[in-house]
Amino acid sequence: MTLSAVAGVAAYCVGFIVLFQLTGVLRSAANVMGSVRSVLATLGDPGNDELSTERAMQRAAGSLFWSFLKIVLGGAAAFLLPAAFIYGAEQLGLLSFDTVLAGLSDWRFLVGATVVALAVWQALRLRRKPEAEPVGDYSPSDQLLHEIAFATRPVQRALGGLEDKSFEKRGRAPSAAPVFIAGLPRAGTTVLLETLEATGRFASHTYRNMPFVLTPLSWNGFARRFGKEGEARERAHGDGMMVDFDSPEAFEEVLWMTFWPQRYQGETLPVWKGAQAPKFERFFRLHREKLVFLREQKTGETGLRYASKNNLNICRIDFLRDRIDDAVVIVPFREPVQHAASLLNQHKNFLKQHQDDAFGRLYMAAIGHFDFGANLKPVNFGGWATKTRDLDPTTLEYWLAYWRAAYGFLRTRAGDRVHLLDYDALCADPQAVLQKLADAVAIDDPQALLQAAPRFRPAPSRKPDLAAVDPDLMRSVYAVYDDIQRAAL
Amino acid sequence: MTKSDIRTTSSRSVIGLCIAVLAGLFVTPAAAYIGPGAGLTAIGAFLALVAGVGVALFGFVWLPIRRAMRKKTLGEAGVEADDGVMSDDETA
Repeated sequence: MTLSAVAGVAAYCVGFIVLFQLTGVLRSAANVMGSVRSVLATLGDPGNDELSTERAMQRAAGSLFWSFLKIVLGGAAAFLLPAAFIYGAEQLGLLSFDTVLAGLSDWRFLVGATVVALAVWQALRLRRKPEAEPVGDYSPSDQLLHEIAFATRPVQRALGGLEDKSFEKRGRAPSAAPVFIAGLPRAGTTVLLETLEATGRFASHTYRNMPFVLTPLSWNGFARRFGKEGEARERAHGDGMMVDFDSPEAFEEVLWMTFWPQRYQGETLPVWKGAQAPKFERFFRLHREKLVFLREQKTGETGLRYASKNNLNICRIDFLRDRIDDAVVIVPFREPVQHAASLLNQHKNFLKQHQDDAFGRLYMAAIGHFDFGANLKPVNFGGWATKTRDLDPTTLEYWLAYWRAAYGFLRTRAGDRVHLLDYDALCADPQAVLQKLADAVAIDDPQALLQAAPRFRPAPSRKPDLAAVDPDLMRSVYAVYDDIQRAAL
Repeated sequence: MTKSDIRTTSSRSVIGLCIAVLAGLFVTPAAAYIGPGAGLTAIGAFLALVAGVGVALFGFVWLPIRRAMRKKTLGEAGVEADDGVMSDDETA
């Protein structure tokens, strides 16, 4: 190759790189990824209503087409303008266009350019702060996997149905009475689930079921082969509760929201009736059986039962009681001021977290945790939330009003298979209350449950300022409290 | 290595071979390689176009149709009453 041809190739390369950079082709390509992730996040957030989802999709489509145009036009400019320059140089008799073109399409040049481009990209990547920082334990690729899972719940529902068919062929006998722990958050629901789980007689969702909660058998097979192990870490509540992959967690809501997506799109969550829902009932029954099967397979135990902690089941007590013949529901509660102060504290904690961590907010919404922060959607027991719209969730009064509405409603549901449990009494006298719990859930090994007694200790008392709380509200809150204490286990 | 491990490994090899053969069928000779800049531009543009068309169909066609169908099917069902209790809908 002549010197002029080498100069021509070099001039073309410089022109190409400068124009490639100036027209922002790489930035546009990165925007494509950003738009795809925003689409996934929109589809994965059950709190979005249909109209806003539609509009977000339309905006994302526009943004993708715009990126396409920018990439095509930018790429074309980066290719053609330097070529025009070379052509001009040929017209001036400085070099041969064909020779430069031959040099540019020579395989040695292409391989060399690719190696140099990769080396530069790697060097820049190491120097630059990554755009997608790992959030908690979730690397950017973990986040993307979760976003894909959140956005494809209807597909997973169909796959879960396919799993059902092969699972049913096993002809397993149904497991005994499932236990549902449900209450307002901060009532001790997690520790109660852990206590049941620790007896070794129950199976529940764990972090291993994430993010493909609806297809436990397939995902278990896949995750076991390719999954990673992790160390225990403190959960997002910052309350000292440690979690690892095998910690039981509240992922059951994913099923409910997949079958009734519209019920999550308002500002509040409705109360379910106990009416029939055959498709859901079948899916839910087999889902519980699959979790029991997997746990039995793992531990070698037999005769395990399903247990779930799902706070939002407080709005479906009628459904659980009426549609699952042997379901046992445990509804823990605490002294209302302490309980409300703890709820307020967590709401403020999550407001801050959700502001700083978009993935964390999406994650919580996508697993149906509308308890706190930017995701807050209270259950509208008796229409309390629509009647008291002026109450501010960053005040104690709001949480006391919610407490009154929730437990006022739940008191009316207490009965044979729906048990109220005084968490303060459990902490004060664990042996006695655990014995009652063992009787209520009819556990086949009560001693295993009683062994958990040492882990229950009275929580440190908060002293919130009650001056701003309406005295009538306080009176009615304590009237409900007295009532549920009398009805409790 | 257990029997099942061997089976897994061999089935992985078979799958890998199939993918390689299939990929070979669709790839033109290496001479057609167009360099890193052109490659990035082509891949970026292709992904943007495919994703754009997919999302547009979803947002402009499928979602509006589904919303209209749901409105027609449900009527007054699936509505929250004043006491916060949801009337039944037909989705489950």
